[in-house]
This record gives sequence, C-alpha cells and structure tokens, in this order.
Amino acid sequence: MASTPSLRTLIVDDERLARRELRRLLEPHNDVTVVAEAANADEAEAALKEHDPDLLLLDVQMPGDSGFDLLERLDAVPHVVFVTAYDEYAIRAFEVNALDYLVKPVEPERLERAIETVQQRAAETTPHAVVSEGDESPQTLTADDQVFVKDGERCWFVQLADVRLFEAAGNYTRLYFDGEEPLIHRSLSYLENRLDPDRFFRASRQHILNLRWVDDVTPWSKGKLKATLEDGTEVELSRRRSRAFREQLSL
Amino acid sequence: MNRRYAYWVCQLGGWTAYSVMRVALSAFFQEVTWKRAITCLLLVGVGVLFTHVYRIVAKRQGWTKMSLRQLAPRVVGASLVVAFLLHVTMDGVGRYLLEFEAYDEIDSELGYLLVALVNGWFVIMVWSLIYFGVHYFWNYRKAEVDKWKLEARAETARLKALKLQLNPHFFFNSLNSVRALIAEDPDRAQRMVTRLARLLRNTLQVDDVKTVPLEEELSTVRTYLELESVRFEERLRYEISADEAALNRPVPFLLVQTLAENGIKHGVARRQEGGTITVEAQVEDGDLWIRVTNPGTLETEEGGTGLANARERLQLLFGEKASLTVQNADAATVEATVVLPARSEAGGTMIQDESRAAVAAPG
Repeated sequence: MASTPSLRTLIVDDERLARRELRRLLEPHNDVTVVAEAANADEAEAALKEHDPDLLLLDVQMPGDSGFDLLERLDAVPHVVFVTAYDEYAIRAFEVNALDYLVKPVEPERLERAIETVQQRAAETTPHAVVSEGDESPQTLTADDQVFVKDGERCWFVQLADVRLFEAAGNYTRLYFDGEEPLIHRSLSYLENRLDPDRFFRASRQHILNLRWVDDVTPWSKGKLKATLEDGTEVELSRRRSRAFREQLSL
Repeated sequence: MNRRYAYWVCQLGGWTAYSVMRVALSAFFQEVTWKRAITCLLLVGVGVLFTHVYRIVAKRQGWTKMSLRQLAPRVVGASLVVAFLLHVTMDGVGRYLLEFEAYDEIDSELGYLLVALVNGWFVIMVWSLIYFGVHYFWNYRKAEVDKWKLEARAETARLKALKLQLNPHFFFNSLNSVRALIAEDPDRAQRMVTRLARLLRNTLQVDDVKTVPLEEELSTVRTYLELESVRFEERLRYEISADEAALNRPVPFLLVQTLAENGIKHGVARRQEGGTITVEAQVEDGDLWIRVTNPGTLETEEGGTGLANARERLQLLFGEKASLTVQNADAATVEATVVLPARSEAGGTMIQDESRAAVAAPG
C-alpha cells in the first residue's frame, strides 16, 4: 500500500458543495492528495500551471468553458477522470471512447476503482499538464505526455510516444496513431516549438516525425533523405532538414 | 407481392376447380365432347377476367375498406351484374360460335335466363364472400396491430415526458449537495431533503389536464429555487412577487416551475457570476400575466422540448388565446411571458387533492 506514490489531485467543479464532497470522499485514500480546487476552466488552468497535478477530477458542465473545452485548451493533459451528475450526451461520449468517469453522487467503491486504474496508469507513464502560453520559454512536451484530441463525436487521450507522424493541415495538425488520424487545432510549427527535439524531428514543412517510429532512412534524390516508418509510411525530408538529420546523427 | 401471388393462385385455382366440376357433373347425363372442353377452358378465362375487372372497380371505389352494412348491398348488386355479363358471354359463345344443339331444346328462354342468372349470381357471391372476407380479416388484424403500436407509442411518450419533468440532472446534483451538507450543516440538509421530497412528489403527480391556484404553483417554484440555491449558493438570487388578485387564478401545474428551471439552465448555470431569477404575476384586464426573467441573451428558441411541452399543455387547458413567448427583454435579460385569459368554461379540472394537503400538514 505504502509503496504507491501519492496522486497529486486537482478537483474542478463549479459547485462548492460538490468539490467539498469529492474532497471528503478522497480523505480515506492515503495515496491521494488534493493539491487544489478550481471552480471553472480559467481557475483550473492557473492551478494546473502552479501545481502540475498527476490527476484531474473534472466536472463536465461548468459555466463558461466546459470540461472538454478546458482539456482542448491545454497542450498536454495529466490523467483525467470525468465527473458528471447526469448528462446523456457526455456519458455517451465517455462510453463510446472508453474514458474514465464517475457520476454524482459519487459512490465510494467506484471512486476507489477509478483511483486504482489511474494508479496503474501512473506507474507506467507520468503525463504532465502543459498550459499553452506565448512562444517565449515554452514547456517541452515529452513522449510521456498526452494530449487530449477531440474530433467530432470521438475523443482520445493520446500519448505522444504513440504518435508516429504529425502532418500540417493549415492551422491544424493531423496526428497519426493506432490507425486513427484526427486533427488538432494547433499548427505544426507551434508543435515543433514544444515537442522534445531529441524525439520529434521536423522533416519538412509538412511533417514532424517521431524518431522511435522510424524504421529506415535512405538517400533519396539530390541530397535528400527518405524516412520509412514502421507501418510502411514513407516521408520525404527536405534538403535543409536532410543536412540537419545527418549532422544530428554524426553527433 | 405475396398477396398478389395468393390472389392469382386463388383466381385461377378457383375458376378451374369450378369449371372442371361443372363438366364432371354434366358428364353424368351428357357426353363430354371437345366443345365442352373448350367451354370449360373458356369459362376459366372469362370468369377470371370478369371478376378481375370487378375487383379493380371495387378497389377503386374503396369497397375493401367499407363496413359490412355499406358493403353488402353493393356486393349483391355488383354480383348480379357480373353474373349477367358472364352468362351473356358464355351463352353467346355457346349458341353462335360452338353451336350446341342443346339450345334448341330450351322450352322457355326466360326461365332458362333466370335459372342461369341465379346460378351465376350464387357463384359470384361466393367469390365476393371469399375476396372481401379475406380483406376484412386483414383489415381487422392490421387494426389490431396498429392499436398495439399506438398504445406502445403513447406509453413511450409518457415515460419521456416524465423523465423530462423529473429533470435528472437537477435531482442528482441536489442529492450530491445534500450528501455534502449532511456533514456541514445537518439542519439545512434535513430541510433540503424535505423540499426535495415535496418536489419529487409534485413532479410524479403531474397530469396534463391539471391546474392549480397560482399561489400553490408559486410555493412549488419557491421550493425549487430554494433547492437550487443550495447548489448554486451565492450565484443564484431570486425574487417572487404576485398581485393579491392573481393568487387564486388557476395555472397549469408546474408551468412556472418549468420556466424557472429553463431560466436557471440557460441563464444562471452558464454564467460564472450567476444571476437573478424573477417571477412576477399580475392581472391585467382580466388576463393573468406571468413573467419569468433570467440573465443572458436568447440565441435561438432555447429550451426545446420543455417549452414546447409547456406550450402544448397551456393550449390544451386554456385554448388558443393563451400564449407563452420567450424573448430578449433587454441586452442582458431573457423574459418568458405567459398570458392566461380568464377561462369561460372549465377545460381542465381544478384539483386540490387531499393527498397533497396531507403532505403540507404537519405530523
């Protein structure tokens, strides 16, 4: 029991009594520490930046931005368990996308099970919350971090390690992972500034590669290189980036 | 497709059987010649043709959907006509094309005609009996199925309406708040449970044709708003005011509560700073005016099913002159207005049932 590290938790709910109730339910859990509470998306964002929690207990319906909106605003998200009183639409979304959620009033047993699940996941990866800010001194997104992706009805928590390719699509970027290819509302250069450069390589104006997924790199034409990913996708490197790739390799 | 197939099988099968039977019977006292065989085939063709035309006419005139009383005289007449045409055709062919000698032995042409007509009429009547009988059976079965479908649909609609009235989001949130209050303020928690029970009972008693005096409806609204202010705390404020003259006027049960609920859902709950819900009731020129306002702006006709439902009940109880409108009162306020004309005749029943009085009484 004592071996599991404490989950530093942020509670986000617009109702004071609901937050209090969650806190009370979490009291017997020695492996959970509530580090802060927030009543709306803006407060939540500030608290995420300040405390960098491991777990977010997130109410879906809030005045202003909803729980989903908050997650979409963030560059990277910690482990999330949704909480809702009764919202057929949200519950369908949770079921369809196999997301963790609790219904209010929260049953202690369910809460316990949800925390166990998060503990198991936390033992494997420790994603951090990364708040999107101006371009100066951005926080680095590592392969351990996860992003929240929402594409119409479907949504995912995607670990960056699983994304093999990022492809520019105007102001959006298409992510390729697990046979899915949804769009996120971030430009490719925005992502390039934040992604860990040792792991993610800008191949051209069009693409960023996850180097772990690269199977083979072969000379192409006129000094250019071509990368082949594990799934067989071929990505052409621009001439300038091919030079950079060779230099990086020789180091 | 299946019915069409069955129809043709019956037509051909029926007429062939009848025709063969005729020849077979006549074989007892007449020799079967090739002429008779041709007549037999001809009867099948002509029989099928004439009754088929009969069917087309009957279908076009909608006979298959008629009641037995309407149908019977038509069938009797039509059968006679078809029998006559059938006889004339067969007789003509027999006399002039096939030149049966038997025709020379007829004593009375009129008697022969009458016997043939009654005979043919009987056959077509049997045909009609089968044809319309099958239709009658089909219609009956379809009506039966439709009845069950309709009942099932009504039941589903009732359940949906109940769920809508119950407002599960509100109830689960309230239960959650009560649980939190039990530790923080047990007295308040107890009061909240009482109110929640009262509201739940009211909701379950909702009836489309029920009205209550405005005073009672406002008391329900107050209960509801008190519960919501436990949840929303300082974010929700409310004011309820009503003219003395308005208090005894009948209103559809839970109408004002539906409006207050909409005001919270679309106005207060969506704003971080919350807002004020106001409920006002006045009598103007004999009409009862109820106004419910909430902060916010109306983008579209919000509230969808809840409002549509309320409007429907309003019209059901108070007629076309009653109205429910929702609009922007100013840049930051949405106002729902209900106008209830004084009722000339009692459309619905005014119920102040004893069970509710008993709930209100202490003890």
